[in-house]
Amino acid sequence: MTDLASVDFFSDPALAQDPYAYFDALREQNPVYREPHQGVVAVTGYQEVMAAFKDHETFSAVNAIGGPFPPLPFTPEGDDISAQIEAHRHLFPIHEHMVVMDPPAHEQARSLLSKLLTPRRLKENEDFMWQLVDQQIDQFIDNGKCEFLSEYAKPFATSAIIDLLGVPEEDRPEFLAALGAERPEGNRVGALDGEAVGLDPLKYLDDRFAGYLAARRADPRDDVLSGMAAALYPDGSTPELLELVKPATFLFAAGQETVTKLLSAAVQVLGDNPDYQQQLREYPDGIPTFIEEALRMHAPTKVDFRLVRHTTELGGVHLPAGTIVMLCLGAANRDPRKFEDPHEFRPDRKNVREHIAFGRGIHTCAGAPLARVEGQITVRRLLDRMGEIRIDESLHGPAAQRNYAYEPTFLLRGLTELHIEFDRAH
Amino acid sequence: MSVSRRVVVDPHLCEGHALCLESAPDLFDLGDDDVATCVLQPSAEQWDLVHAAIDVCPRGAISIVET
Repeated sequence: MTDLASVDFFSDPALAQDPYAYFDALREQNPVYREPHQGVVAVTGYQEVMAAFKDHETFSAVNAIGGPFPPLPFTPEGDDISAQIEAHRHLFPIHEHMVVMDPPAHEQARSLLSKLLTPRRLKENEDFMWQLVDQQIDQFIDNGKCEFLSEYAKPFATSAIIDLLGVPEEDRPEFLAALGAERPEGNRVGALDGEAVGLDPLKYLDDRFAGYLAARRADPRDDVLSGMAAALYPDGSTPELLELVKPATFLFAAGQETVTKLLSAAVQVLGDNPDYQQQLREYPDGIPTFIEEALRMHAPTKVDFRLVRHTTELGGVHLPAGTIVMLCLGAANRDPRKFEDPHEFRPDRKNVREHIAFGRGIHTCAGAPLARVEGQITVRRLLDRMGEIRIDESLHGPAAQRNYAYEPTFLLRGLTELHIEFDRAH
Repeated sequence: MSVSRRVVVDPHLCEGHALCLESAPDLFDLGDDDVATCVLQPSAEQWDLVHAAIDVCPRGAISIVET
């Protein structure tokens, strides 16, 4: 028997296809366990992941995206590396974005975005979102089949953010082309060859939003961009234009791939379980809980990294300052101490809302309310407009031996393709 | 000596995700500023709901203060 806990999570293609047995093996060693390849401490227990998320003083987010890649730009010295982190912060991948910031800069940046995506704000936008869902479904409903990621999930997720931010109508086709078009090399974030993420893959968006926001500052209108352009920091000071641009562009980076993965996981579950389709058609109020269980079981973000700022202990394990910690969301969500029969999909699981697919604490996903609404409306409308949704057996194999391929990254979890068949609802 | 407990939502942490309203609709409400508050002193039976709300709050904004 292979010793699963000793496999290299960061390069093994089989683990990228199914990380869950590996996560269980790590947790059985210890919920806080130093993996032998990069010396990264993997946290697979629910309560231990929560503890690290909540202690943002000890666990810096500076390496949240890259983890061990690239290697730290300094050699940690002593029991408190705060000064080293600050001196080298500009050398970490995507350092301009709030996901890797620590307080107080993080709180400043986040305040500019925090009221943009509340459930209440989204409610105002819901009619448009329904239209958007229907327009997207219209494109392929008569074909009787589709590749769900490219024909629905990706263009829809992109359009939803474009709309929310109020990108002018005439510019939307260009945005969709720039963002929705499949790049041949695929997504490189978290690639298994250890390549570091680019310093800033969001240049196109930065340029566009800088233009929009500058125009709105000069000439405000009644739209979301004008609201963003007028936003002030909590102390009343005016942000630099670039500081407004970054949160706007990061919404795309964070919200497009991950939502695509959530939507395709939810539809995969429906296709593999025709019973759920019928249950949710009869009882649409069960859809939100269904989406939460899809998030728990198929967390689109597998892992999130932290850097130990002060020497500490987590789950009884000594962590010297400079330790790279990998918080395994996909593992915490399947910790049997927290979720009964964790590998079983239960569409009515009672404590499902305690999953941490969106993380917790100050860095918790700012787009979570949007992702939830996108998931709920998508499932609702697919069930309304389609008869039985079936997995295409010619491409994914018969029910007992499905053949699904997942993106080969250590960071994200999601299907590469999902082929479904369906009839129009009568 | 009796200790009284109060539920506090940190208005700087709260971002209006509103999950506490789902866990304990009678206890929490959202203000016009999209910040949640605990609008009712929980009865003895309602403390479980408070704990449920604390457990789901994405921002960790809810706490129990003993006075």
